[in-house]
Amino acid sequence: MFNALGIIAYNNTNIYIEGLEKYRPIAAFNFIGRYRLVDFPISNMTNSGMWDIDIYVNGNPKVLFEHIGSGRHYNINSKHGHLGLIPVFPDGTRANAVPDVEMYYDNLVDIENDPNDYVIIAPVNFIYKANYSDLLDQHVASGADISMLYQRIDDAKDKYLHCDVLTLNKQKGVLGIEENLGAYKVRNLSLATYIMSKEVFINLVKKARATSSMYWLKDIINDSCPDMDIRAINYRGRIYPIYNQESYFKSNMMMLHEDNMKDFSDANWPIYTRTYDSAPTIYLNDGTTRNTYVSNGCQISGEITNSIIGRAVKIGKNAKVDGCIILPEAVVGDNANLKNCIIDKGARIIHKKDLAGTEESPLYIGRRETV
Amino acid sequence: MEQNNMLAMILAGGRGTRLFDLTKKTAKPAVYFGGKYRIIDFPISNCANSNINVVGVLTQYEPVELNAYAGAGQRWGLDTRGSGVYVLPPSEKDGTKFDVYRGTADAITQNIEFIDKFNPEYVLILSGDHIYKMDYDKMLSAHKANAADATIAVLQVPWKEASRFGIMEIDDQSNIIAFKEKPKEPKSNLASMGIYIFNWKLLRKELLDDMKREGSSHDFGNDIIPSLLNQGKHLSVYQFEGYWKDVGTIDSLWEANMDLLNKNNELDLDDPNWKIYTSDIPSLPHYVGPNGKVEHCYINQGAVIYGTAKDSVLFNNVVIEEGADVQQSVLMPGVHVGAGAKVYRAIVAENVKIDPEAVVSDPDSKEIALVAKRVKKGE
Repeated sequence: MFNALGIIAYNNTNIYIEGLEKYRPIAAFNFIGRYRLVDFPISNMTNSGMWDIDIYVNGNPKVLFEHIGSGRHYNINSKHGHLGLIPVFPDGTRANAVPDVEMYYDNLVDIENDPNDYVIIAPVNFIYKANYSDLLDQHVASGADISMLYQRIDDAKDKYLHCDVLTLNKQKGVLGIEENLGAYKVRNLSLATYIMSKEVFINLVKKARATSSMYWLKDIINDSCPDMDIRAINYRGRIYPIYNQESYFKSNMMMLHEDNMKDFSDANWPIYTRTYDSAPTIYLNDGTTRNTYVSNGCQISGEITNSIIGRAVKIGKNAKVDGCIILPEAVVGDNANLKNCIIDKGARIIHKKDLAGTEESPLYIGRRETV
Repeated sequence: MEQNNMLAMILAGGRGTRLFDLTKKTAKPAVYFGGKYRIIDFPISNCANSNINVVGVLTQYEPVELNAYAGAGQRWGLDTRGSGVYVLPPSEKDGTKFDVYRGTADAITQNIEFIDKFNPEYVLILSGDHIYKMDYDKMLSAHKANAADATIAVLQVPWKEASRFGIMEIDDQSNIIAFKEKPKEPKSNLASMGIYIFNWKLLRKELLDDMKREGSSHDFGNDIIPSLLNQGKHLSVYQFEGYWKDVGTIDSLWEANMDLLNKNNELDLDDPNWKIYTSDIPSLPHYVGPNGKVEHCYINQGAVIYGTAKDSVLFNNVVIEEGADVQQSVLMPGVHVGAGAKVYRAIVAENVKIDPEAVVSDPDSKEIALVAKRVKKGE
C-alpha cells in the first residue's frame, strides 16, 4: 500500500495561456485529442498505487466535475480511496491569484486527518510519465526534507519563460527557486513536483501563511532552502510542457513523433480518462489522414495531415487540414483550408475558407465561434 | 426497480455454432461487433435507454467471459440504487436436479424466485443475438394501450424469406390470430423478433403449468405462445421499423459490420440520444502513420495504421504495419497485420497475428474468410 497523499496543484499567475484559458482551467485543457491535462498526473498517481488524491483547481471547475466524477474510471476504488476536486472560491480576486497555500491552509484539517505519511504534489502543466512509488523510495532513502523533480534545459533564453527554475549546488541541493526571465540559456527547469512528509508540508503551509498572504508554496520552499535539506532529482524522461499557446501546440504535436507515442500507449501504464461512449470514427467519401491522431465519433470527408483531432469532429468534403489541433465537436466545413490552427471546442469553420498560422504562433479560433 | 416497473431477461445462452471459432471459447453474445462493441451491449444499452433498470442475463454456454463482462453494470449506467445487471447461470436448487436450462422458457422458470424479488408488473424477454436499437418503453406503452396479456415485437421480412422465421398472423387490430414456426406457405410476412412483453402474473402461472406439461420443449416459440393462444389470451404485435440483424453466421456478422461503413445506415451508432455503451479500453486516439492510407473505414481508438486499410472495420489496438493491405475486412481487438501482408474479405479474431508477407483470401473471393489463428507467410 502506497503511503502518500496526491495533490494536483494549479499554476500561479505567471502562467496564462492565451485563448484556451479564457474558457476553462489549464487542468481541463484537451490533450492528444481525447484527454484532459489532469488525466496525466492522476494516471501517474493511480498507476503508482496512490488511492488518495486531491485536485486543486482555479477557474471554472464545471467541466472537471463532470470529467472526474467519482474517480472510478481512473482505477481508484471509490470506497477505499478518494479523488477530490477542490475549486478556488475567490472573494473578489481573480481565481488564479489565490495562492495554492491559502487553499491548502483552508483544507488543513482534512490533510492532517489523512492517513498517509507523505505528500506528493504534481502540476497539470508539465506532462510526463513517472512512477511516484520509485520516487518516494528514493526520497525516503535520501533522508532529504523535500525532493523536487527537475530537468536541465539549454533553451531557457526564449523558452519556458515564467516557469520556475532551480539553482543547485554540486550535490544537487536546491539553493533557490526563481522565475525564468530568459536571462540564461542553460537552466534547471523545475517540474513543480514536490515530495515531502506530511509533517514538513503542514509546517510549510503554516509558516507560509504566517509570513505573507501572497506566498505560494514555492515561495516558502525558496525561503527554506538555507535551513532545510532540499534535493533535486533529475527527471530523465520526456516532458511535455504547457506554459503558453505555442508550447501547448508543440507539446501536442510532439506526440506525432513515433518515439514519443510510446510514452502514453504502454499497456502497463495506461492513461485513464472519461469515456463519452462515442462510436468509432467513420471515413467517408475521399476522407483520408496521414501522420494524425483521430479520436472517436468523428466524420472525416476531407484530407488531414500532421494533426490531432478531438472527439466528434466533422471534417467536410475537399477540406484540407494540416498541422492543426482540432478540439472536440468542432466542424471544418467543405473546401476549408487550415494550416497550423488551434480550433477550440465546438467552433465552426464555415464561411472563411483559408486560415493559417505558424508553428510558433498558431492561429486560434475560440470556443463555439463561427468563422 | 420502479421506473417503468418492467424487468428485462436476456437469453444469452446460445452457442452460436455457425460462428465457428469465434464462439469456440466464448458465448455468442460476447462476440465483438462494430469496432468497439460486443453483441450483448445492444440489448443491455437498449434496456438502459428504455428506463429499465433491472436486467437479468441468462448464460449457459462458455459463460466465464460473458459473466465477467455483463456483471459490471456500471458500463451501461445500471449501478444506481435499485438497478443492476444480474448474471444468472443455471444453478442447482433445493428439490431439483437441474444444472442446465432446457429451453428458453425453462431459463425463465428456473429464475422465478429472482424475478419475484423485484415484484415487477411486466417482464421483457430478449435474446442476446441481435444488432438493433429499440425503445422497449414504447413497446410497453403499446402493450398497455392494447390491454394485452402479451405483446410480441415483429418485423416485416421479404415474403420469399418468411418461411425461415416464426410468422404471426394478425387481425386488423394487431391481435395475433395464429403463430406458425417456419411455415411452408406463410400467410403473413410479420416475423417474430424473439422480443416479448408479458404480464408477469400471467407468465408466471403459464411457466409453472408448462413445467408439468409432458413433451414440452419449454420454449417460448414452440410451447408458451401456442399455449396462450389456445387459452384465448389476448396476444398483440408491436411492429418494429428500423435496422435489425441476426449476426448468427460469419457472412451476416461481416455484412452487419460493413453496413457501418455507410454513414446513412439505419443503425446510426453516433446518435447522442441513444448511445450504445460498452467497456472503455484506455488507449490513445487511433493513429495513421506518415505513409498510412485509410479509405472508407470505421476505426476505433487505439488502432495504429502504417499500411493501407480500405472498406474495413478496425477495433482497438489493431496494428497494420507498413506495406500491409487490408480490404473489406473486420479486424477484432489486438489483431496485428505484419509488414507487406494482405488481408482481403475476412473476419480476423481477437489477438490473431498475420505474419509479414502472409496473404489471407483475395479481393474477389465470394466467401468471407474467418481467421482464428496465426497466419504464416506462404500458408
